[in-house]
Amino acid sequence: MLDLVYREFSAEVAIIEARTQQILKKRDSGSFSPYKIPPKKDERLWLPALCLLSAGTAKDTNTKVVHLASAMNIFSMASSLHESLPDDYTGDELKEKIQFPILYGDLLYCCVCAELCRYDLHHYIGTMASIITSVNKDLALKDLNKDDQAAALKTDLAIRAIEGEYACYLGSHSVIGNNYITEVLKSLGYHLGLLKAVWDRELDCLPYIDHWYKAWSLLDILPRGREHEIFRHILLNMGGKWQLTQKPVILRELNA
Amino acid sequence: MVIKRTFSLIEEELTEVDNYLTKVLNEAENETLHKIFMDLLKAGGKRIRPAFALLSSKYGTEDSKKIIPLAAAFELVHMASLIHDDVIDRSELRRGLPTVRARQGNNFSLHYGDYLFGIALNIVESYKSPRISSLLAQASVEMCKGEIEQLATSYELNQRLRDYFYRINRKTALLITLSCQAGALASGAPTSLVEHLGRFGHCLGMAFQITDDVLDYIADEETMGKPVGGDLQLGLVNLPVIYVLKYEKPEVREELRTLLKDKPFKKENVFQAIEIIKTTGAIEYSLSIANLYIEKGLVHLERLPDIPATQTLRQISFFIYNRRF
Repeated sequence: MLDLVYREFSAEVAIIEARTQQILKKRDSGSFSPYKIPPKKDERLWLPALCLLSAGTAKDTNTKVVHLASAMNIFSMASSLHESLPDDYTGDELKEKIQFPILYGDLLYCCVCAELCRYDLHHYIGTMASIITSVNKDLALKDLNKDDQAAALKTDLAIRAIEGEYACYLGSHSVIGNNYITEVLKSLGYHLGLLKAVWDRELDCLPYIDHWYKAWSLLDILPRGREHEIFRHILLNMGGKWQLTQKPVILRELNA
Repeated sequence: MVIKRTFSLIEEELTEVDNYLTKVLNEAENETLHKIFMDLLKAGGKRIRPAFALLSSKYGTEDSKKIIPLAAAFELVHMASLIHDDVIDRSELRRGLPTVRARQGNNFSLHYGDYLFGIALNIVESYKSPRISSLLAQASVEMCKGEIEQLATSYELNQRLRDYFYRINRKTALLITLSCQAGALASGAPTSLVEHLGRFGHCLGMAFQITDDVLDYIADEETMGKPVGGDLQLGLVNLPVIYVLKYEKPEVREELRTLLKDKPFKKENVFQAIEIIKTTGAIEYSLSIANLYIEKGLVHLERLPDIPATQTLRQISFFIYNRRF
């Protein structure tokens, strides 16, 4: 799904990946290997991709946007690490399965703020802090109601939607500030985030079809260009799996 | 009780820090999360980091009430790190009470700690000071690196003094340094005072951690609120162990190495190891290092104006040296 992003933004993606690797490299004088975070390319670059695409749609991508996208990448890795831990692990590989993932997740969360400070993006610390707070509050509440599968799914989708919303907001706001296009892109990010989560989990898309239509409606408002095409490609890619096209045709009813 | 008397100058402000934290977490609009936090607050804690921030703010021109949220933020960062530490160490008790992990599980503890960290970031950002934000960001990154280093070197006996000091600087001293610097910065203190307060905080933080490590060998469980020898059982090779392995007679070194050859260390061997360490000069050596740091810290205090806050910082230095908990 993100193949076009990797192609069109190869330089930016390389910078983002390199920056993340630099953060995780071992201490020069140390003799101990760091924990290797399992690579999940597509998932990890989803939020940075939204950030880059939004900025490009609104105006253009510049170094500020790349650093924001890098911060989103780091955030994504941090939350992914902390979310994937087993709740009650009793095995022998405590360091690899629990302890290192916790600490590296903590390190990455701290690095989100450090990245913003490093590149004079202090004014976005509040936004990133809000994402961290919002996502983890929802996750903590989900953990308190472990048995309620339906509520857990709803929370997961809501979290991915919020992340998408913020990623697009940051990208657009960094180049054009608060205005109508930023609000549209923010909404688009919300719907795309949720749809991506549905797509990743291979859920039935029907209950979420509204988000699909809204995403297309929002896309229609936005300026045309390379980034617009890539957003379109992402939606079509998702739609291909769900047998949906841009026009509001519900194939299930036709097939029934 | 001793520490409370020492903080009498800022007692009211420390209470306001707790009130501020209660208010902020109340705004989370979730009763369960709020209750968990209230339990954490009531569990106690010395509030050393907020205290340093508040005391440091006395050297500036701003009203110290302005520093209350900042002080609260540092306590939140500390709380978040303790919650995660308890997951990493699989601790059931902290300060004699069940940990968040013991009550709600690992995942909740992780996310709750991250949530508190996010709130702390938001509070610090509200000061709109790039310098303070940068200091917090850098300190928190280094703190995490210190924890990772500590984990990576757990049960490793071949550690240098330099490795130990690197670890404890990141684990403990940095946040105290930050508390001192940020409190002074936020209140508009002159740069020279910010520097001296930062250096003082660093020295005191190092001394604090060294004495904490020593107490793991000599204090009792009731006083400490955690099991004696707990650190060594977790594989933390601290200053007393490093001393013995570096400076003691060959036969003592060999005996200790033999006792601690397994990974993880066997519980019965840990207790034997502690008894051996107590018979050597390790405890005295470690406390003398802590004392050196305190003396260095006091030198920086001499550069500060002679105000009640300076007196209090001096008293804190003596408290840390003499502490038994």
